[in-house]
Amino acid sequence: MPHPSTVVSPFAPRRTPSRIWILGIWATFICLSAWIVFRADYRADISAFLPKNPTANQQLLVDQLKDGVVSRLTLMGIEGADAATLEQLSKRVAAQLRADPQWASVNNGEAVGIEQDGKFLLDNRYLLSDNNKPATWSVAGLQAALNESRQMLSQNAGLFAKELVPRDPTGEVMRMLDDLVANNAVATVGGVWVVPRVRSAAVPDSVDSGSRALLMAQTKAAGIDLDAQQRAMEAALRAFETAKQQTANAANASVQLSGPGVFSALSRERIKSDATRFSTIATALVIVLVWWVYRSPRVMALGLLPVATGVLAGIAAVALVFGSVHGITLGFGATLIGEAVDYGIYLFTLIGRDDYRDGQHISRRGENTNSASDSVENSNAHRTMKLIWPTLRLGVMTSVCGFSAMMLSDFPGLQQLGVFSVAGLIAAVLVTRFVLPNLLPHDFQVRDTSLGQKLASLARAAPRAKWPLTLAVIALVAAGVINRQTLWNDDISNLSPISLSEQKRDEELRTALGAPDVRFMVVAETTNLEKTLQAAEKAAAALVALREAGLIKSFDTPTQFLPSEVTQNARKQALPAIDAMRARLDQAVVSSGFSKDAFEPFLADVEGTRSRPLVHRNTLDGTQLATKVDALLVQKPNRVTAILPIQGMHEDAESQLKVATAIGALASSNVRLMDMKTETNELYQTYRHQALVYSLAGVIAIALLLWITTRSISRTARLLLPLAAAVIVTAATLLALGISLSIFHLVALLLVIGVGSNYVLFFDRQLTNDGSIAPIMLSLVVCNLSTVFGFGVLALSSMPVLKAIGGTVAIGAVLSLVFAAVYLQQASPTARRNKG
Amino acid sequence: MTFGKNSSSLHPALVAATMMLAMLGVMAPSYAADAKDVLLKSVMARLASVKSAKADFVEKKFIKLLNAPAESSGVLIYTAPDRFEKHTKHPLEERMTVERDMVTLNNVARKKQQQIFIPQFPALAAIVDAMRGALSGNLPQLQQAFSIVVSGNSARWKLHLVPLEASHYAYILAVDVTGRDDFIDSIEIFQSDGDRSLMSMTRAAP
Repeated sequence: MPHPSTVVSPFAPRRTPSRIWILGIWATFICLSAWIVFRADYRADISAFLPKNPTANQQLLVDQLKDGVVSRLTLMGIEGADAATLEQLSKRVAAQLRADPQWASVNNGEAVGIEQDGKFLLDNRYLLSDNNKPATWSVAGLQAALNESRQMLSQNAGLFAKELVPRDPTGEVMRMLDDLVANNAVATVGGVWVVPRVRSAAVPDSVDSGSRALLMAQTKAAGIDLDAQQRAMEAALRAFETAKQQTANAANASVQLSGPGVFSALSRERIKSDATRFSTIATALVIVLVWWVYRSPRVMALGLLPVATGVLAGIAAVALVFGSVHGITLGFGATLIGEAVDYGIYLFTLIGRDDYRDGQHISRRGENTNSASDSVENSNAHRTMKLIWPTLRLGVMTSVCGFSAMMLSDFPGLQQLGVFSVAGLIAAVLVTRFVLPNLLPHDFQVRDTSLGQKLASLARAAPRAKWPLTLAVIALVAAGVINRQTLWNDDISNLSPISLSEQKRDEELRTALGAPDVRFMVVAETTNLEKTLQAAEKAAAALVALREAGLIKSFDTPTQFLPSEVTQNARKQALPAIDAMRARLDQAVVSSGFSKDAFEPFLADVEGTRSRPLVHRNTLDGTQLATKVDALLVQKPNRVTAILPIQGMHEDAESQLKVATAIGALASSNVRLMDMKTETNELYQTYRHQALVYSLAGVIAIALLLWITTRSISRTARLLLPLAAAVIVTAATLLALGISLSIFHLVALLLVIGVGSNYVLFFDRQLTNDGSIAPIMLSLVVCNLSTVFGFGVLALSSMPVLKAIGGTVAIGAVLSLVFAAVYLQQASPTARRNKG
Repeated sequence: MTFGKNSSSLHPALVAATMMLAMLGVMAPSYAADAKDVLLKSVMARLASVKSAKADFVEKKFIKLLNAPAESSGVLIYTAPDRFEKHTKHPLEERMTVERDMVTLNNVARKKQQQIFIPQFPALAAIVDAMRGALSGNLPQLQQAFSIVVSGNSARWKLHLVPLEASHYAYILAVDVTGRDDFIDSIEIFQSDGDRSLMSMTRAAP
């Protein structure tokens, strides 16, 4: 961008080419940025929070979060009608989704695929059951099995098991089904999952009014494909609305969606809509404020130009550098309003006033025009701009220092934030410097001046608080050092834009469906499927022992329905030849109480198994078990991972150690125990730690910049003192409000330094120049109020990210200004004395 | 045919008396129906007055696969209006708790617990409906699920229950409940495949 002061036009002084050039370049820039912004790819997935160079465990976590089967899961709960109506609704929704090609599977308890499941288990039971071993088929083993079968017939469940016994006297299918349903058989009405919503027997309402139909569906698209997840979510909602239209008595029925994909799509929408809504409200408030101060629609509009340009430039820069824009970055977009709107206000409010510097009065401005520039620069605005530019430039540079450190981070999320802020601030300040003076009325001047005086007299009283404040800050720092363990909130779930009630409902649906969120898992990983399955079988054996010991409640393994070939062949070998089997069975039956020829079907099945092909992944096609196996088996080129989720593992360190030791004792580098919660939190801690380190680097860069500019260590220290105090007291205020600090607060504190450094610099400039703070006070207070409005509104958002930034910056901005008044004024008499 | 021959040589007075009885018999059903209705209501009212009961039971399952009936025994505990617990002690310990629409099966011997939503299993629903309907003395509820034939008298009665719903009837042909006064002393379930089970109760110390 050409420097306007170097362009001298001999032509029309009011419409010079330089002015046209500047506006033209700016307009082109706006159009280009807007085009990029509208075409940009927006994301809200967690990938921005994932490191570029993950560890093996982190990689698995990343894979799972991105495209694991779990990430494709959509849970639906329909309620608000009687059980029969819910049944109808569920069937109609499921039918629509099954016909929709974007869903890989839809399960609502209907017997779709259940027959296949049962048939698969029955047909392949001797290849799948680990009970198929020589001891089972000895006479004694058969006797024990028949005895047990007979006892089972005498039990209540015998009613259901009776038909299976002649084919399966050793109870293999029952055993596998028991494992399958574990403790969570989902209840059905009319063959559809309908569970009592209130399970407590203490609540006397009828089950019908408190029922909930459950559906579980999987998208074909990966969980990270948010557009696809969004489409799937909308399709599910449409299917429900259609079903509702078709069903009588369903007027009050409602549906709830849950699951990782739904949550991702929802958070994207929410962050977008909250950022938009609150930015709009904030903008409106700032407009009202600016109107109140300047009473000019034109100035009002102009004040927003740097902000708008900055936001566009920021998003465009991120889109260009990263190829996509993360929703979180967009959320931070609102933060730019806070600083960029100040630039215009400094200019507007100081126009005319700033001439105090040279002891000149506004009315004498005409005599002051024979300087280097011609009439283009010959307006109040241009002159004031030139005067405040060094301070403004320094203010922007300090902010840029603060944010550019983020660009060095290992996490794309922080890098985006850095690029966004730096590009946005630079664009905003350039617009303020070169575009605004050209658009302001030639003789623009702020109307009201008495307000500044009133504010100044208030500010003059501030230094009295200096020593109490300093002591308080020292005390707070000491308290912070002592309690440093509890300052930070490292539980990433607290940062989720998903509300607690939604998280709770998700848990409810999961529990009802028997699909709990898993914290601990054993992971087996090798280069091919067969080896991985073998490793998983070893791990499963160890887990069985742990289950027997009561250390874990249950676990899942893909080898339950897809054993390794080695194991399947061993199981085929374990079955005795048909004649031997018949002889042993005849012997065992004698004392069993069963009639002699009861087990002919069993003998036929044993004979059939010997010639059966082994179970492969495609044998499972058409069953619900296929989905289960796929969820537990991640197949990538040259890397096959089996996941064995553990349920009901005690979370105390001792139990964890025992389980870890047992898994470690497998002496296989291919198998390891993983704690998803710890992994996720460690990941987040790394993220937060990096943000902290780079923030500190930013602060050091700011200090260096100030030192280079002022060439005085003591002056640099004096400028930084109010900022440091503001950051410390802000953090202490948040902690006192019971809010532990997250990465978002950290970013917000950095912004406090960015915004606050401008206050400090302008305040200090005025003191150094003149000692009278009246002219700058109005400007600073308007800036401050606009920041407080802008960010105070964000604090009302339900999104943790917006809430954290909003509250922190609003508090921090006020404190920065107050502390600047407290700490900086003491220097003014000295400055004046030195001058004098 | 000897019987026929004898009957043809009956005394005319006896024939007349037989005809009279036959005529009475034609008229009898309305009386009998009323009487049975009264009996059914009185039986159910007595059962309804019981707020809690405890009985020892012996259950015999007659299953074709087995040479001899499978036998189990334990305690049955009923609490008005709709909770009962069947605590089997022999041969394997098992607790079945029925409350509202949920059955909890706690297989103590195998350390397995399972919750079942009753409507999911028609066979179970038929049995639970019969047992709970009889225990609670809730006549309208029982009549909703079964056609009821009552016999005997209020001191020694029998309810013959036939499921009305086809899905229940596919598993259960009939349930016979017998009792003395306000105490149920047997429940016999006739399954559609020809197997049956007989549960006999004796009053236990509370």
